Amino acid sequence: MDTFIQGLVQGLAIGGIYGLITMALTAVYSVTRLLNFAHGDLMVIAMYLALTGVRWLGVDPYLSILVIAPLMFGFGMVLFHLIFERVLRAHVLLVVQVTLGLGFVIQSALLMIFSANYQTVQSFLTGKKIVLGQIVFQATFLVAFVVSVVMALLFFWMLNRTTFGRKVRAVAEDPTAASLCGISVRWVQMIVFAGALGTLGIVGPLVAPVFIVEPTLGLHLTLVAFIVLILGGVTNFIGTFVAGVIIGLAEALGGLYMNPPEFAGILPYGIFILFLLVRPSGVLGR
Amino acid sequence: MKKYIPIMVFFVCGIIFSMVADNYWLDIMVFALWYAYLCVTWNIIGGFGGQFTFAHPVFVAIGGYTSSLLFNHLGVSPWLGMFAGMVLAALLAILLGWINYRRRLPHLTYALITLAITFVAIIVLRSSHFLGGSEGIFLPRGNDPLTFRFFNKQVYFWIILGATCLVLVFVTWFSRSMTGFKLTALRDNEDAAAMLGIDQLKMVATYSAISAALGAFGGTFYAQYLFVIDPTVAGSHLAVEIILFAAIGGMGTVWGPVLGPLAMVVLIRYLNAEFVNISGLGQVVYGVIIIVVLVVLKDGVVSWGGKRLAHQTSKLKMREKRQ
Repeated sequence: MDTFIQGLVQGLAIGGIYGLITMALTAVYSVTRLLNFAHGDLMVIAMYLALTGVRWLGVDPYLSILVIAPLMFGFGMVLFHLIFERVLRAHVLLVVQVTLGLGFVIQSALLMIFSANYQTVQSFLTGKKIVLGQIVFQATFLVAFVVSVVMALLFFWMLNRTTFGRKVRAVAEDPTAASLCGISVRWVQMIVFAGALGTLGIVGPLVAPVFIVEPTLGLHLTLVAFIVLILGGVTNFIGTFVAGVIIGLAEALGGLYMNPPEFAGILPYGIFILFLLVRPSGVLGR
Repeated sequence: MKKYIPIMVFFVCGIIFSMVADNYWLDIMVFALWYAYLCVTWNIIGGFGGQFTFAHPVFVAIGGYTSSLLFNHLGVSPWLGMFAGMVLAALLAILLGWINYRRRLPHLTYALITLAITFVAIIVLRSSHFLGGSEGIFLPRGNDPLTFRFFNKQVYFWIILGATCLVLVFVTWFSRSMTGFKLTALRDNEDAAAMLGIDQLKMVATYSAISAALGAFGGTFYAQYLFVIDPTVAGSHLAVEIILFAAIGGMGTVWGPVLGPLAMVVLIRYLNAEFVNISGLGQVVYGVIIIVVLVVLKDGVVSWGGKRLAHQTSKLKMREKRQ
C-alpha cells in the first residue's frame, strides 16, 4: 500500500509536468500552427542549465529558475525571429524537418559539451521526505506537482481574464480577422513562443532533480507531449492535463508493478495506440 | 531508356572508385552508401507518399536480427534469411498503416505512432535475453560468399552499390508511373485524391510495406558488414538521421536522398577526423547546415534546383514563342 501511494504521488507529479509541457506545445501550435519537434530538446537545455548551475556555480536548481526562465524566454524570441518566423507559411512537413534538425543540433551540442553520461541534479530537497500519517513521499515530487498545478491555473487565468489572453485566443481562432482588429499577430506569436520556452525554463530545472538528465532525452519528451496533446483532444486544456496525469501514472505505477520494470516504458505508447484504435477523439472527446 | 542513364553513370563511377580507393575510404563510402540506400528506400513512402515515418530503423533492426538469428541458430544463409526479415518488416509496416488509416485521425499521428514504435523496439530488444540484450547478436567472422561474409571490403561496397542502384531504377520508374502519381496526389491533397477514388489505406499499406521490406535488407547488410547487430540500430536517432539526410537532398525526388547522405557522411567523417578532441562537432555543423538550407531554400537542394531549372526553361520557351 505504501509503495502504491508513493507511485501514485510520483505519477501525479510527473503527469502534471507532462500536462504543463504539453500546454506550452499546444499554445505555440494554436497561434502559429507550428508542430515543434524540438520542444523536448529545448526543455533539456533548461535541465542542463540547471545542472551547470549546481555543478559549477553551486546554485540550487529551484533558485536557478529565476535566471533560467528569463534566459529561455529571450532565447525563444531569438529562435522565433531566426528560424520559426521564416517557416510560418511553409508546408507542415518542412516545419517538421526544420524542427527535427534543430533538435538534432541541440542534442549533438549537448553531447559535445556534457558527454553522453547520465547525470543527476541535487537540490536542497533531494532525499527529504514528507510524512503524512502513514504515507511517506519525496518532497521533490510534491514541489513539482504543486508548481505544475499552480502554473496550469495561471495559464487559465491569463488566457481567459487578461487582454493579452483575449488577443491570444483571437489569433488562435482567426489570424486574419485578429490582424484586422489591430492585433499585431506577429507580436502575439513571438510572445507566446517565447512564453512557451520560458515555461520550459521553469519546468526543466523543476524536474531536473526528479529525472535522469541525458542529452537524448529530448525526442522522448517531445513524443510524450504530442501523445498527451492528441489524447487530451488537441485544444482542450483540461483534457490535456487529464491525459498528462494518465500517462504519468501509467509510467510510475508500471515501473512499480511490471516485470521486468523496463517494460513500463512501453506503457505510454501502448495507451496511445490503444486510444487511437478505440477512441481517437481523446480522453474527454465525444 | 534515357532516364536510366544517370543511374548507370553513378554505378560505373562507384565501380571505378572501389578500384582505386584504399580501405579507409572504402569503409567511409560503404557507410555513406548504406545511409543512401536507407534514405532512398525511406523516400518511397516518406518522400513520394508524404507519410512521415520514423519506423525505418525498426525495419532495419528486424531485417538484421531475423537473418542473424536464423543464421546463428538454424544455420540458414543470410542470403535466404534476409527474405524472412523483409516479410516480417512488411507485415509490421502494414499493421502500422492499418492502425493509422483505418479511419481519419489528426495530422501527423502516423509520425507519432512510428516514432513510438522506435522507443518500444529499443526497450524490447534491450530486455530480451533471446535477442542478446544490450549487447546484441554477434556473427562468427569468416570469408564465405554463400553465407554473405567477406573479408574484402570491396565486395560489400559492390553489394550496397548494386542494391542502391536497383532501388533507384525502381524509384525512377515508379516516380513516373500511374501508381506513383496516385501516391503523390495523396500527399499533396488527401481529399482531392480520395474523390478520384484513390484508397488511402491500400496505397499507404502497399508502399510502406515495399519501403519497409527494402529497408530490412539494409539491416541484414549492416549485420553482415559489422558481424554484429545491437539495439541502438533501431533507435530514433537513426530515424532522424535518415529524415534529415533525405530532407537536405530533397524529399520526393529521385536523386536527393542519394546525394544528401553521400555529401553529409563524408563531411561528418572529415570534421570528426579533423577535430578529434571536439567529438560530435561534425553532427553540430551538419545539423546547422541542414537548418540553414531548409529555412533559406524552403526545400531540399535537388528539388529546389529542379524547380529553378524548370522555371528557367519555361521562361526561355516563352521568349522563343514571342519571337
